[in-house]
Amino acid sequence: MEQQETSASRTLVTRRALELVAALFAFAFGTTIILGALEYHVGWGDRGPEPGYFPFWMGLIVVVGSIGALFEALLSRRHADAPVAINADQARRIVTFLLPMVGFLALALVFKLGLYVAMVAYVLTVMLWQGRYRLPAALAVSLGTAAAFYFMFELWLHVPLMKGPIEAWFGLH
Amino acid sequence: MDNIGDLLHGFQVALTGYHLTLMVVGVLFGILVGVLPGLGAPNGVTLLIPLTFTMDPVSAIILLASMYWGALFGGSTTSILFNIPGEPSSVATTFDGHPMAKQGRATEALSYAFLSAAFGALFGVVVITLLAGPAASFAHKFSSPEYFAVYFLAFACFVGLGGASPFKTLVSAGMGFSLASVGMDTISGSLRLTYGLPDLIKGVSFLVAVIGLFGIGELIATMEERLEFRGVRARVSPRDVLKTIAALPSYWVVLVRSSLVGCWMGITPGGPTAASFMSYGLARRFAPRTGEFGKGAPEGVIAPEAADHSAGTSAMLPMLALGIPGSATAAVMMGGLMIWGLHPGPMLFVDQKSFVWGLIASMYVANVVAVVLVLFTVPLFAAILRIPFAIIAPMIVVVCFVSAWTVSSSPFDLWLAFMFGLIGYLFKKCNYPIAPMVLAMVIGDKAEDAFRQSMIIHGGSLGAFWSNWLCGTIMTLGFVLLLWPLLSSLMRRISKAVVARPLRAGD
Repeated sequence: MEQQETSASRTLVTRRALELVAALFAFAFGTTIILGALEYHVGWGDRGPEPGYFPFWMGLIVVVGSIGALFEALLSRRHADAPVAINADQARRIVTFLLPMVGFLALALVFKLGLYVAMVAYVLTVMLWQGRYRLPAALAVSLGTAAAFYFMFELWLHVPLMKGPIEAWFGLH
Repeated sequence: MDNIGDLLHGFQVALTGYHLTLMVVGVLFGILVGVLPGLGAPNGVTLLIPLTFTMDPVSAIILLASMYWGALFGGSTTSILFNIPGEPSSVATTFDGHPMAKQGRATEALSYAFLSAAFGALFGVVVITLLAGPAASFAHKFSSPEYFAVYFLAFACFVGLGGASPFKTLVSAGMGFSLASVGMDTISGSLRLTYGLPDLIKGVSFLVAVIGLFGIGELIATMEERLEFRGVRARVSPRDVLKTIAALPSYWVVLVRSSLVGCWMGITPGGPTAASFMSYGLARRFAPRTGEFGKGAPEGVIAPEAADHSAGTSAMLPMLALGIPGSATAAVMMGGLMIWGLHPGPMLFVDQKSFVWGLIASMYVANVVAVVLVLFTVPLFAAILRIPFAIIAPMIVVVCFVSAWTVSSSPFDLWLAFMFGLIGYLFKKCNYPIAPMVLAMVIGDKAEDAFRQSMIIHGGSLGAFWSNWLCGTIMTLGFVLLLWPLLSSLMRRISKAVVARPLRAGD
């Protein structure tokens, strides 16, 4: 392959680095489980294992597995075939996908505006920003989405979704 | 035979107007879920489970199962027309299906895919019908140690035969079991692994985990590649379908072999994805004209499709008879069963006869319904994929989070689903298998209970698991499978050392 190090396809995360991140995450997870299990007896009582026993050993399995995966990542030469895990272009696409999603969750849950208002804002933002749609089209689709969810969940299935102050102004509960 | 009578009773349950409507709805929803990237069969079942809480269990399982069949069909449609597998299990279908479509043989490829899929599925259902009774009466002999042994064997299968790094499989399964033990302990009543967070007392729902791992995680992976649906236009004409039906019997060897592979992989928890790859590999090896593979050989479509569907259907057998799901989707369904208050396992065949046989009968009917529906709706669903991704993607995200909300109306679950999404993406990128984690989350409590009960019965001695030949055999088999990666690499090294010497001498 020709070396073409344009800014778009620049390597951001190597395969090995990502494998290390995953293994370290698993290691931290396993350690957390073990620490949590140690709040109870992890040994063998008179009626067999105590409450902490099972989580303790499962946490240990995760830790052992993560150490194995860590060594695999460090020693394996397989990564030479596909050394790049995420390039700059892909990272940009992931971030532009995740940012509005976090905004959606924050709007709904942190600012307590509820799921309906948040989904209108979310669909609107993505359509304007990434889809480059005109405002009327984006407004129609996002409001239509919320209306569809309202009819489906509140009226048809009788499953109320989280609502906030704006629905209350309209008298919807 | 008892089975025939039970099955006829099952047909009486399944063939009501209400249940036929549910099948059509389920199949259509399934095709939609299968066609959309980021939404797959496990996710589709998860989205529907909260809506089935108020339904009768038979109706609920018919809806969920029909959705599963629909999703399997939908996945193959996008593989062939767009070269984008809608489901992981239809990756192998792209190899020959898409080249066929590009040569203008889209109808042929789709018909081959759907018909061989239906053959595989019906093959799987017949196997279930024949084996369900015997398997359940065999499982009647089980008590706690045997159950734990079978759970152990299922996870040993993942490690030994899963194909991923054994360490990564261990991490995934261990994480699932750990997450299953969060919250109230069923035996001692103590609150475990809550770290002082009140939100964790009710535990971590596997539904929320599946939404994150399969839904959000899959979507992030999809967004990473710039997706363009530049598909081949498809209109299925009845004449072409009939021509394919006439040609299909000449491929009977491939069909039967692939269905057998699928059944095997479905009953042991190898899953549909492994089954479709394995059967594609076998078809290529035994084909008279190997050169055509990858360029549009009908066998290359028939083999993975038949195996995929027969694995999907036969994965229901261990779920019903033993309470061990053979695939991630079956695991989610089994979680549903437990939520509805049923106890998967041999007692189901005694206590819930019409549930079990209604489901089995519905599998015959729903698969026929699915083939007919999918053949007629292909152009419609292909059109859905032409809606720009900037509209489809946020809507899928909203659907995922809304369904995470419907699980228990808890804001915490939404953040949890998001976290699972990030984990799912990371694990997918690094080839950590996700199915063991989902399976572990669903059967975690049952496995722990089985372990602790066998310890209580046998006075806290691990000898409980070798106390009789049945349990001992299963446990020993489990250990062999667990150590299989180690054994096989050792054997390979030995044989390499033997082979390498004469080769070097000849150089």
